Amino acid sequence: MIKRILTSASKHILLLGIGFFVALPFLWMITTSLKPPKLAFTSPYLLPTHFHWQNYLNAWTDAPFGRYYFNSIVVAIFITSGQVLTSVLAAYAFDRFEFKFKKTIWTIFLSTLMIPLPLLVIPTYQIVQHLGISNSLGALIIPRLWTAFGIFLMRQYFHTIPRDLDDAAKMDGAGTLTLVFKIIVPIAKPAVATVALFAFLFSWNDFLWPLIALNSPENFTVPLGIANFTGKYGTRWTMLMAATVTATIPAVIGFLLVQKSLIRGLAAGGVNE
Amino acid sequence: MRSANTNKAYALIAPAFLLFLVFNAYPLIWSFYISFTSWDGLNSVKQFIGFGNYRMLFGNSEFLISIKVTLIYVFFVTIISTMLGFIIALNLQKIRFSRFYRTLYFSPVVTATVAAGVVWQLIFDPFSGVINKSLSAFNLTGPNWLSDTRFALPAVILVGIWKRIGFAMVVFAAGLAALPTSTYEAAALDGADGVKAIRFITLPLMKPIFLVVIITGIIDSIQVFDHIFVMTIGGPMGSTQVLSMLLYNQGFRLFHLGTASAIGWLILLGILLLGSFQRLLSKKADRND
Repeated sequence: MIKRILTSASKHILLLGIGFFVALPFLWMITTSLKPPKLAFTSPYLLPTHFHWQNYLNAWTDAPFGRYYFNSIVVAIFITSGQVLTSVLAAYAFDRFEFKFKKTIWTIFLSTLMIPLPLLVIPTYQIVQHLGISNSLGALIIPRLWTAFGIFLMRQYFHTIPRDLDDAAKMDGAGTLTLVFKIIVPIAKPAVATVALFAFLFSWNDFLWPLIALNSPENFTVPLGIANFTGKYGTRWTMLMAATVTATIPAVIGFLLVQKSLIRGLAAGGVNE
Repeated sequence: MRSANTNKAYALIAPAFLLFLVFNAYPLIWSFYISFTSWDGLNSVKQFIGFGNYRMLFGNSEFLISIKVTLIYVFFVTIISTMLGFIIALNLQKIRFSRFYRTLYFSPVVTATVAAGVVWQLIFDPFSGVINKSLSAFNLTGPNWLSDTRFALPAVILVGIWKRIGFAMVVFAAGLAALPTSTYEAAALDGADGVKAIRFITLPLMKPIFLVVIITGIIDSIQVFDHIFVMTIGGPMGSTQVLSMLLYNQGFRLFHLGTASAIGWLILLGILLLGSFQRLLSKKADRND
């Protein structure tokens, strides 16, 4: 009995120890963002005596993070719905149809996951220039409308859906698209949620590509705004921390919403690879 | 009938395939070609120089140091985050508050690395950062972390580990959950439990999972850019200039697009080498089973 309590206690001590390291930046971000600018560093261990919400207002209007938020949201909406759409369609074809070059295309698709992003940004920059969309939100959106990872996750899930459903729907005269969107997608909600969240997180946090593709501040997304902010307002830490808190919140909320299916999806990708 | 189905399948794949052609296949081929030129991105003439960029890189100390820095970064981030992820996953089994811990450890994975980099920069601040302030409470003087060539790389490695633990934990947790309990029961009857069971049952069975976590860790961390850009911009004196940072500087600051493309291709070759190594290892593991 005592031994069991001791083991359990030592486990919690270990987990809390690592947990403190993991939580440190979040604690710092939040407490600093609530301090009056002058006291940013005077009492680093204590919560501020009164909350200085002004930092959030300043970040929102001065930086201006309101604008960056709007851009980030527009980009995220298009990328997320685009990736879900292309993934659903392709995954259905890969799971339910036999066709020439199926294996070859599948292998080629999966191998795109190994291409380093830094390699792609140079030619992609030239391509968006030729398409006439450089320095616009379109430059961030269009190259990101598909991902092999989404097709992979979606196909795994589709595979567990019985084919009888397809046959029944076909008997009722449903076309392929009706079948996919009316029957399959509603059943595959967990997979859709996972692919959507990955797309959202990727788009929300993406930095290198927007850094290269955009040069006018009115098109900046939130991560670019933060990086730019450090250069411009280097000493205004409290305002900067308010900005990072607001940048982090949507991602964490999204994660909490679909935590279960996200972790299952991630694990499936890792374990079955 | 069959050809109708084939056409349907092609139509369903078409959107993804077109995007693949324009934004993956073509860029890959194009940058391969550019890596053999001295193009500056502006001139309409792309001067072909054969292996010039590659030869120049391997004779260039900045590049060689960058490779060394990248390998150190990849090695420590991958090994330490994998080990911590495994230890956490082991200890999270059958424990109270596991959901709380899991959410906490996973939060860095979803946090924008740029935002995290800015906060860590504040934490590492030599005068007002929490680390040096804590040290000074013990009458110790902390180093000037991010502007000291000895400490900048360990500092950005720490952030890389922080960011990755949660991912490793999740994959290991799923792997552990899939292990057959009967094996442990049989082993416990033979007197193998606790540390022994981990050593002789869990570790061997988890080998393929370790391989996945390590390989994905290497592929991810070999491309690291975001938090290094925010925290050190590759400095001081190149001590944190990983390959993608060098690629960025060459391609988008100096407009040496040929050289930058060559660096990109060398990163890809490294990943491909690793991929074939993985296939070899997993084949060997299959044969041993």
